[in-house]
Amino acid sequence: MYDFTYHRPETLADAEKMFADADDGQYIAGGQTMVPVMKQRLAMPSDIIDLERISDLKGISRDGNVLSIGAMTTHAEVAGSGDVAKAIPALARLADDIGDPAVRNRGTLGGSIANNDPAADYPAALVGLGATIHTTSREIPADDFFTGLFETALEEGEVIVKVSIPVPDKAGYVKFPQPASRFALVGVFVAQIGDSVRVAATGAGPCVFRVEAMEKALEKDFSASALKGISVPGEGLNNDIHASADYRASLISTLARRAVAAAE
Amino acid sequence: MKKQGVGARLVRKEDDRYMRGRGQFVGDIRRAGMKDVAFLRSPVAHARITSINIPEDIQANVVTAADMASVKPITAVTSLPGFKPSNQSILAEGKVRHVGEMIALCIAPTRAEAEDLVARVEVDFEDLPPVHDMLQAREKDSPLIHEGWSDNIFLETLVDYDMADAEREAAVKVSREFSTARQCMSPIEGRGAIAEWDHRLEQLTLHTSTQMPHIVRSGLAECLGLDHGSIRVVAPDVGGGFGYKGILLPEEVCLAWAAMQFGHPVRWLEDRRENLTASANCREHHYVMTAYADKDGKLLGIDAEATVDSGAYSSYPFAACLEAAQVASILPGVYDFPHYRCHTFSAATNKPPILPYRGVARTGVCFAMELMIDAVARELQLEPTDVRLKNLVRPEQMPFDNITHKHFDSGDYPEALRQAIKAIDLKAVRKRQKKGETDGRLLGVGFAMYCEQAAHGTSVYAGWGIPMVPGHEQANARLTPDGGLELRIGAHSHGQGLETTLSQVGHEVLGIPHEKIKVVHGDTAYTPYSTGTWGSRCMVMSGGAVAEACDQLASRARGIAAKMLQCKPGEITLKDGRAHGPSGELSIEEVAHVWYRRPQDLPEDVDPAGLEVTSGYKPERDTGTFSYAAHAVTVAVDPETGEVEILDYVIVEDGGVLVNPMIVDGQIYGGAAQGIGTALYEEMIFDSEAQPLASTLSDYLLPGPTEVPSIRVFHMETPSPYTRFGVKGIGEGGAIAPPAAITNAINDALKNLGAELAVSPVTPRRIVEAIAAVRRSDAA
Repeated sequence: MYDFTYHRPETLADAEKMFADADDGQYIAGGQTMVPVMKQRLAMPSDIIDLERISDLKGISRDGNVLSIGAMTTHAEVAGSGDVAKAIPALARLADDIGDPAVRNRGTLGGSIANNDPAADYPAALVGLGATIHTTSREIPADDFFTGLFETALEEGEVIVKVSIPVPDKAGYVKFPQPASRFALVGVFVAQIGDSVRVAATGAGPCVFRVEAMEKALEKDFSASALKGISVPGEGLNNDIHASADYRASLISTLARRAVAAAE
Repeated sequence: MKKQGVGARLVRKEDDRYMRGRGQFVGDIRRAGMKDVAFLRSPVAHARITSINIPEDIQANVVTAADMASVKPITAVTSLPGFKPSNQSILAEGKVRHVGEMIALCIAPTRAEAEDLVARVEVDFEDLPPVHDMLQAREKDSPLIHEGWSDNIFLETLVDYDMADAEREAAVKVSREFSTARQCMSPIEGRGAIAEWDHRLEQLTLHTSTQMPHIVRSGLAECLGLDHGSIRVVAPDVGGGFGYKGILLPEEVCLAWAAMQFGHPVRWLEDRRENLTASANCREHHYVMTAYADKDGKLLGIDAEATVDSGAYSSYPFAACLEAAQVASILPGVYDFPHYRCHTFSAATNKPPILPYRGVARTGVCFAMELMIDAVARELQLEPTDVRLKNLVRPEQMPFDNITHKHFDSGDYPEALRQAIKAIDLKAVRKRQKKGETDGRLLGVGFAMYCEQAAHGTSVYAGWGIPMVPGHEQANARLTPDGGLELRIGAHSHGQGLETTLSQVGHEVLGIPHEKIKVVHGDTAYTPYSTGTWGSRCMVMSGGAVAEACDQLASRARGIAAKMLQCKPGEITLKDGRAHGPSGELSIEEVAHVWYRRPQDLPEDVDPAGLEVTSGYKPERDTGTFSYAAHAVTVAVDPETGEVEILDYVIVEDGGVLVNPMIVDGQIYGGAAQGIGTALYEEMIFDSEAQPLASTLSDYLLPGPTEVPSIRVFHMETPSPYTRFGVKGIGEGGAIAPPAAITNAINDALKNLGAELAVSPVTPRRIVEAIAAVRRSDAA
C-alpha cells in the first residue's frame, strides 16, 4: 500500500469538497474491498475520504410500505434491525449471511452496491425487490443502477445516500456460497409484490440479472412447482475455477425453486 | 506424583507460549541493520530469458544469476537406475521452467520498498511452449522441460509379480481411472529466513522456518562451498510444516549468499501469494487401474499405471521421484493378494516442484486403492466392508511381508474395520438409506483403510540413494547441577509437541519431574546431527534416542550414587527421581550436585565420564513401524446442488503404544481436517499456459471450522515389536484416508443414480456434472 492522505468529514458537503480538491480522491465506506485492493497496489489513490462519520448516510426507517436504509449502514445493523426483520425477513437473513462477523461489522450496504461485485448479495436483493438508489444528485431504479461487471450508473464523485425498498408480500433469498469468501457462487432473490414477481440472480453472470421466464411463471402461480422445466442457458454466465457456466445455470433453477419455497 | 511418563495425557509444555502469543517465529526476530528481500519471480511458465534490464540507480540492490556464478545449483539425485537429474539454479539462469521461479533478488530497508525495486526490473522472455499436464508431458512430441533429456520423465519404474496369472484366473475385472488434484500445503506460518554473517565466529547464521536444520546446513554447505563448521542453522518456533519446510529452499541459499555478499543481515518472509503460486505444490497423481477378483470379491491382482506430476525440478533432499517410487511399493495397502503390476512415471512439467506433504504418496495411493475396492464391491453387488474383510492381512499373519516386501510389524487390521463398522453403525445407515431422506438428499456411507510405514531408516533410504539417508538417530541427555535434565535432539518440533513427549520419555527412564526437563532442539550449534522431522519418525527415532541416552545417563548416575552410598552400582535402583541403595538413598539432584559442585566428596576412582551422554538409536528393524486405521464416514449429498455434508466421521487407529494420547488425538484431528480439504476443497488449478489460477485463500479453498465435523477417534494399541516402548509413528496418518473414505461415501450415496466420482477434490460442480453425465447417457 502506498501513502495517501486520510480525511474523515462529518458532513456530505465537506466530503464532496474534499473529493473535488483531491488529485485522485477515493471515497471509502467499510473498506472491505477498497483496503485489500490498495494493499495489493491495484489502487493508489492520493486521498481517502472516509464516509463513516456522516450521520446523514446512516440508519434504517420504515415509512408505510417503504423501507429506507442509509448507505453507511453496516450488514450487521441490517441483520439486527427489527424493522428489516419485520418488513423483509429475507433481507435480514441475507445481511446476516454476508462474509463473516468482521466483514458484517465493517461492510456497508452502500459500499457493497457501489462496488457491484458480480457475486455480492445486495444487488440481488435490490433488483429482486425493485428498490430505488438515492444519490447526492438523483434517484436511480435498481434495474438501471447495476450496469456491468463492477460497473454502476454512478457518475464520478456521486455518493449513494440511501436505498428505498418497497415492502413485498413475500420474499426469499437462497445462495450457494463459495466456501472461502462466502460470496454467492449463485444467489437467487425472489419477491412477490401484488401481482408482480421479480427474480434476480447474482454470482451467475458478470452482473446481477432478472430471470423473466421465471417471473412470468411465478406471476401465474407463486410456487416452486411453477418453475419446473424453466432453465437458464449457461451461455454468457461466469465460468471460473469454482464453477462452470452450466453448473451455475443449474444452480439458478435449483435455488430459485428453493427461494420460492422459503419466501415469507 | 501424577503420572508423567509414557501414556500420560499431559498438557503440552509449548502451548503456554503459543497460546499467549509469545512464540518466537522467524518473523518475530529482529537484527541490527537487517534489510528485507523481495524476489522477482517469473510470470511465465516456460521461456528463455533474453535480457534482464535493471535501472542503473538500483543495480547495487538487485542480484541475478550472473552475480551468483560461484554458487552451485540444487541437484537432488537418486541412485535409482534411469533417474534423470535436474539442475535448479538458485536464480533462474537462461530459462524459467515454472511460474514463480526466482529471477532476481531485490534488497531494500523494507519489504514494500523491495517490492518497488522488483517492479522496476524488466525481463524479456522468448516464450517456449508450456507443459501444464503430466499426461501431456508423457506424450512423445511434448516440448522438453530440460534440454538434453530424451523425454520429460525423471524416472520410470516397473514391478510385475506374475500379473498375467491373475488375468487368466479372475472371474471379474474392474477398471478405473483416478486422479488427485495438485494441492498447496498451507501452514499458518509461511516460509521465512534471516541470514547473517558473524565476523567473530566466521560463521553464517541462518534462522529459517524449517523441519530439518541439519539437512539445510548440509545443503547450504554443498551449494555455497562452505565448511559445515562455517554454518549454523537455527529453526526457531515453526508454525506448521507438513513437508513444506522439509526441503532446502533456493531462497535459503540465495539469502545466505546475499548476507555474505552485502555484509548485513537479510530477511525474506514468504507471502501467501508466493506460497500458493510459486512453492507449496504437492499431491498430484493419476492412476489407470484394473482389479482382478473372484466372484466372492477375493482379490487376485492389481494392475496399475501411476503418473505423478513432479513439476520442473528435483527438490533437495527427497528428489523428484520419491512420490512415484513409493506409489509402486505401497499401493497394495493393507491387503494380501497374489499378483501385482505397477508401472510408474515421475513426469516433469512446467509447474513448481512437487514436495512431500503429510501422508506423502499414501493419500493418493489410498484414494486409488480404496475407491477400487468399492468399485469391485459395486460390480459384485457386495457390501464394500465385506470385500475389505476378505482381503485384509490377518492378525495371525503378523509380522507380514506383503507382495512388495513391506514388513508390516504388527496389528489387527480386520478388528479396526469391525470397530469402525460398529461405531458408524453400518446397519442403521443401510436401514435409513432404504427409507430415504425427507429433504431429498442422498445418504451414503464410506470406508477407507491404510497402513502407514513410518520412521523407516537406513535400509529403506539407502535403496533410493537420495542425498539424505537416516542412520542412528542421536540424542544428548545432560543432568544439570540442580538435578534437572536437558535433552538435545537434532530433529525439530513444529507442532508435534516434542518438547512435551520427549520430556515424558526422559521422565519414564529417569523419574525426573516433567517440570525439570527441558528439550533443546532446532539449532545445529546445540544439537546432534539429525535428518530432521518428517516421515512420522520422531517419536520412534528421537524418542528411542532420548530413552537410550537416558539409560546411559542413569547408569552414570548410579555409578556416582554407589560411590556416595558405598555400595556397588548394580545395587542402586533409580525410582521416582531417587537413587535407592541397600543402606540409604539419594535424590538425583544430590547426585548431580556432588558431581558438579562438590567433587571433593567423591573418591578419586569415580568414573570420569560425567553426567552428559550422546547416544544413537535405531529400532531392532529399521524397515519402519506400520500404524494403521479404518476411517468410516456418513455423508448427505444434495443431488441438485452437489453440496456434501459430513454427518459422522469415525477413526479407529492403532499407533502402538501412545506416549501422549492427547497429542495423538490432536495429530489425528489435524490430519483429518487436511484430508477433508483434499477430499472436498483444495485444488490448485493450472491453465493450459501452466499459470496457477488460485493465488489467494479466497480462491484456494481450505476447510475451516464449519467444514470440519466432530471426529470420533477410537484407539487400539498393538505395540510394535521393534521399537522402544512399542511406539509407532502416527503423525501423518490422519491425512491419508479422508479423501478415499469421503469419496466412497459420496459414491455410495450416488449409487442408485449410477454416478461415480473418481477425481479429488469432489466438488459440488463435479458431483452435479457426474449426475448430469449419467442422465445424458441414459437419455441417449
